[in-house]
Amino acid sequence: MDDPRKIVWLASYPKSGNTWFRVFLSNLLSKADQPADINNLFATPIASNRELFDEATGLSSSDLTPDEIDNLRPGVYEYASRNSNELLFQKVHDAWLTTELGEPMFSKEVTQSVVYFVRNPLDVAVSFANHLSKSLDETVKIMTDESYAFGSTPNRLHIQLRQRLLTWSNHVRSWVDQSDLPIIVLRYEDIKADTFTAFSKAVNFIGINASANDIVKAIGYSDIKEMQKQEAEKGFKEKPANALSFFRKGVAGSWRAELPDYLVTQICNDHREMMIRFGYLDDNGIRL
Amino acid sequence: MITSFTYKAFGLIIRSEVECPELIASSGAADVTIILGKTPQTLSNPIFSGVRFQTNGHEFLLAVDGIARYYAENGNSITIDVFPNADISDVRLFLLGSAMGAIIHQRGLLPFHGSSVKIGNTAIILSGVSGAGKSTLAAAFQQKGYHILSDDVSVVSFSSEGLPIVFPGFPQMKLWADSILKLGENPSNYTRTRNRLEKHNVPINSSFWDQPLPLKQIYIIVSSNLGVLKIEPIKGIEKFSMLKTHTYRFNFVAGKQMQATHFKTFDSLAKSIDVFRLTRPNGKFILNDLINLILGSNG
Repeated sequence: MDDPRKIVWLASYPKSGNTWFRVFLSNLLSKADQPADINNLFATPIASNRELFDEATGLSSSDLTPDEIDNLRPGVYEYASRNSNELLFQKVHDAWLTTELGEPMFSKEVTQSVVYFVRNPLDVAVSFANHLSKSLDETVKIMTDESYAFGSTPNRLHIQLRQRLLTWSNHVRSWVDQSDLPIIVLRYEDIKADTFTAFSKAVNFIGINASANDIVKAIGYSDIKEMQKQEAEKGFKEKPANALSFFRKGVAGSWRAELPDYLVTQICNDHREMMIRFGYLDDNGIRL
Repeated sequence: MITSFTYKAFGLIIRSEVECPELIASSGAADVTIILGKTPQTLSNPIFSGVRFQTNGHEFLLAVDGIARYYAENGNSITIDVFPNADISDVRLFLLGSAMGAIIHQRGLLPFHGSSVKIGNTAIILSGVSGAGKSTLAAAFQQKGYHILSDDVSVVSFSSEGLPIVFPGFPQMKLWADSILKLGENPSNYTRTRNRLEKHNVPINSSFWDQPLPLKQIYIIVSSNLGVLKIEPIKGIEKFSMLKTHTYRFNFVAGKQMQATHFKTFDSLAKSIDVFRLTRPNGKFILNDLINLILGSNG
């Protein structure tokens, strides 16, 4: 019988390598002989898009409160999974949460697998500040704000549904420890150091049939330089309006030059446990 | 005897046990009756099921948690089972939205997702995804003295001569607080659509056009982060698919007969009107420029 679990969640805190993998995946699945258009990525819509919600519920999300919307979201993904004949890749920045009614937002019943991207929060802070057009100080504060959410200003309609991020540490914890879903965790730094090995692991975990050659080719088409070139030529529709660019540097360790010492110390204190766990600090809290 | 109220909206005479002050009072034989009562819990033979709705060609059932269950049948009746402690204005909001949308589909009319504005002696529809700015742009037209036929949903049908026409909805717009501020007004002058939402009911009484008008153009508003402002015609197969994409609640259309009716409508519409894509810069709502682009293409 057809497995009803169709959704592959591409989950991460923002600026952690998710879009890089989506571009890679679009190239891999399209099997084209030219790089995929970053403004027309194959089959990786964000889970918080309003169109899917409105279609699935028969309601206007703009007539509902964020909590009412969250209560219906498990059903929305059940609907999407039920109505799909193939794997459904969904980018998601929400933390893994349960609704007010106690249901998991992203349930086992719809989930084929999760690819979770984690990146050194020191680098996330620098990249996220650019993304949000906020100061580094403000961004570091956001990363420890349990109530932080995208799309939550109450006086206007956001293009996307509200997405609760929690703190950086709790975002990671929610997906990796609490979701109880089949999950593979990719560190941004490992992808950077050996893209082929990291992306091959994810491809195998999801169960996509692809040769080493296919993977090498798709990695070539999703190189940061290609993405920057496309963004410079035609822009990138997922870039926040005020940010200068989406594909900024795509390097690991740029915090060394860009983050003042006191913020480095603060992030290491705020997120010590998760940083040790993912190898960004050693057991003594020394930066690696 | 139960009190009932008679209204006209979307070209239909509606007799309702629920008082709907936002609708225009009318008289005559009812096309649609709205009653309070028990509804089925589920449909016995649904063709399509969403999260909280089910539909087959002639029946439609929708539950809105904490508010009501709506049962629409044969294009001529809606039964509402109001849930305990529901706010009656919430009950009306989903009645005049999704439930009326189902009735309109069942009658073979086309509910298009967009606001309609009278320009000259014809109508245009401003469409686009949720958040594109349909209602705000319609409100900006209204400020400049144009008449509005409908906000959010515009019902399209064909005249006996086969020309597409838009039916008036009702004289009220729904606008978010920031849109009202952009239009230079104070949100607190208007009631909220729901207690916990900063989205307001804005009456447009004297600017409401209460007669059907020929439909001339549809504009699909797209917000872009690339800073561009442009207008371009949509042609060929994309025109057809845009009409389908921006149909209000297209998946309420269940069953071969209803789908055939709608595809015929899209085909006739695609042949008789122009559809444009109107791209606006994200975050900047340059209403006057958008209005000028539309008026320029409307010649």
